[in-house]
Amino acid sequence: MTLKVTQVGEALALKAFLNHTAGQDQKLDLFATNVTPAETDTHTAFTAAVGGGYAQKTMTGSSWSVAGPSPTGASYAQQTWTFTGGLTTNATIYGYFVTQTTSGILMWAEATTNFTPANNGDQYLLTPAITAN
Amino acid sequence: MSFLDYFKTSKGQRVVAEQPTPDRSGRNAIAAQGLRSGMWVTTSEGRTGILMEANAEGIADVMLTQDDGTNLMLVHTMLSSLAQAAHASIPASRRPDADRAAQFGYK
Repeated sequence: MTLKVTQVGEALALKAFLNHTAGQDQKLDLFATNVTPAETDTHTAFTAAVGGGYAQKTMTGSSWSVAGPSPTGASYAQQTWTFTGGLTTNATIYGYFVTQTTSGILMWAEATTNFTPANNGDQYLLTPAITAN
Repeated sequence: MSFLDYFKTSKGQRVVAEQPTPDRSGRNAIAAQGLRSGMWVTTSEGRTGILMEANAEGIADVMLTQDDGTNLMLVHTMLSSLAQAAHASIPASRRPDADRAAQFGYK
């Protein structure tokens, strides 16, 4: 599946490009509702995973690696969630979403293959990457 | 912008999923119909969903949604049979306010 940059995220990306508005570090969450990201979504469209040792991650802007040439892509170090057991509200992870740290604005989201943590030690490994093309 | 690869492990079992290469011709086909990836659309049967992607032949993947905004089923249909959804047909929990929706053509 393809990640979806929301309309608001797209506008913020352009504003940062033009030095209209500074960018922000970002929060990375796994969502536990069976939804497909849409262009009009805000963070309220997604329910972050709860329980089982789950915790939100922070992605620091300066820690992204950017490489090119065309298409230029950016990647971030692999993120690992190690679960202590099953999630407590909704059991299954359906994807991830990225929000700005301060504003809370949804930047992008992507549905992935479903994963249901069940056992202590189950892991979900995610390598964030985005390409401009 | 697109592309993300991810890995999952569970007690030693590793599943690797690879992101398909973005299909520029499919994106062009979507744009030629005046549509956008991620757009709320209505099918010729009057069902509401989210346009996910399309191929160069004009076959679109649409995730139909339930009233609560969650996924119902994935269908494959002709891009030419799709139209941008009306504002009121977007599930309430995921419906933007009318002013913002209008900026993107949802009436």
